[in-house]
Amino acid sequence: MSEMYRVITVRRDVQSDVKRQAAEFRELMTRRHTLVVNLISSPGAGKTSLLSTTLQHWKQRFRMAVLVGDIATERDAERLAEHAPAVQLTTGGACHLEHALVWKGWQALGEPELDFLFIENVGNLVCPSSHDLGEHGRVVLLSVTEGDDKPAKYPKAFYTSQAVLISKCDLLPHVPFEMERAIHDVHSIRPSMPIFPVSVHPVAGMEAWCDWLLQQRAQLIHSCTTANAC
Amino acid sequence: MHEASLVKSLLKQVVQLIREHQAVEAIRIHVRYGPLSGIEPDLFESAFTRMRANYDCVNCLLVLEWCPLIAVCEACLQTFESAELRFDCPHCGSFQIEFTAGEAIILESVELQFNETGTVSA
Repeated sequence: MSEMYRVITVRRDVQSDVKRQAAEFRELMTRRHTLVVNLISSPGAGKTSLLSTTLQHWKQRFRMAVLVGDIATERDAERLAEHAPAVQLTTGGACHLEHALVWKGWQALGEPELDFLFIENVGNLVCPSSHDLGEHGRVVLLSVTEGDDKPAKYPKAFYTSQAVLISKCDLLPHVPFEMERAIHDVHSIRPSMPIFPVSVHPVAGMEAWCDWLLQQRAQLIHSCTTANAC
Repeated sequence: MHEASLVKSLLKQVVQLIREHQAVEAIRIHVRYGPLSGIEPDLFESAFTRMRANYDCVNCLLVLEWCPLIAVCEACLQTFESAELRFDCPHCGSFQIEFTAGEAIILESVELQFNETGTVSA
């Protein structure tokens, strides 16, 4: 039997199916008025501490839950579970979270009615930039101990995010971190990107960060209501 | 591991195309990537070689092509190449740009093999 060959033109994003599923999740959360925030950073930048402080700042005021991504252990979820429902997403080696795992985590939470769903991504400033989890907002955390050149070195992480948190600001007197340079480099990528200096020991900067979250959720509800989609 | 996840998505699409076109198998796929695609080509190729047999693409060759980062400015509508990972339009200075190439990983084409009648044998 002779063979035939044919070239089929596709021109399709390799991640198109996953991106569609993430978009559907985002629409579902919009209808439910749940703001989904994906927090990314290098390992040790302070994501868990920042989320723990945020949850405590708002405790009893809002309905919140957390999905925590790690390669191994459940320590971060156990720590955050003291303040809000938390599910650990253990990737077993993957360097980033993907929407499919976030969906399972959402189901493991029991699909509750929430005001905020926080996703703490795996500590990695590269790979999470390429994976839409279905979030409304992606926030990149940069600690002052990492150096002020990270926005320039990891442009995709900052280009794909909607806000920057500069953490561990209590250590500024002890590290060669130039805040103005970091802010300049961030705004060279996204000129209107909000930047929030924060610390958790002692707690500082939480009001501005939390006000931004509230604004994002208010805009979400407004857009949903305007579109008559909820 | 990062590349493996993307290769899995790619191979799922190829399998879907084989079924849609009722082909025997895929023998060559053409993938385009660029500076913001977030992949290391050697790792992508090795992941593909390792994983293709799991998706009935054991004979499939991967042609991986790099392309520059191209954007269109939504303010002045001009197209430009962002050679140094710039996020502003060199013509008007606006940051309202959209990348049209070099950001996503694109499955450009698939070369499929058919039997004599052009369909899968019974």
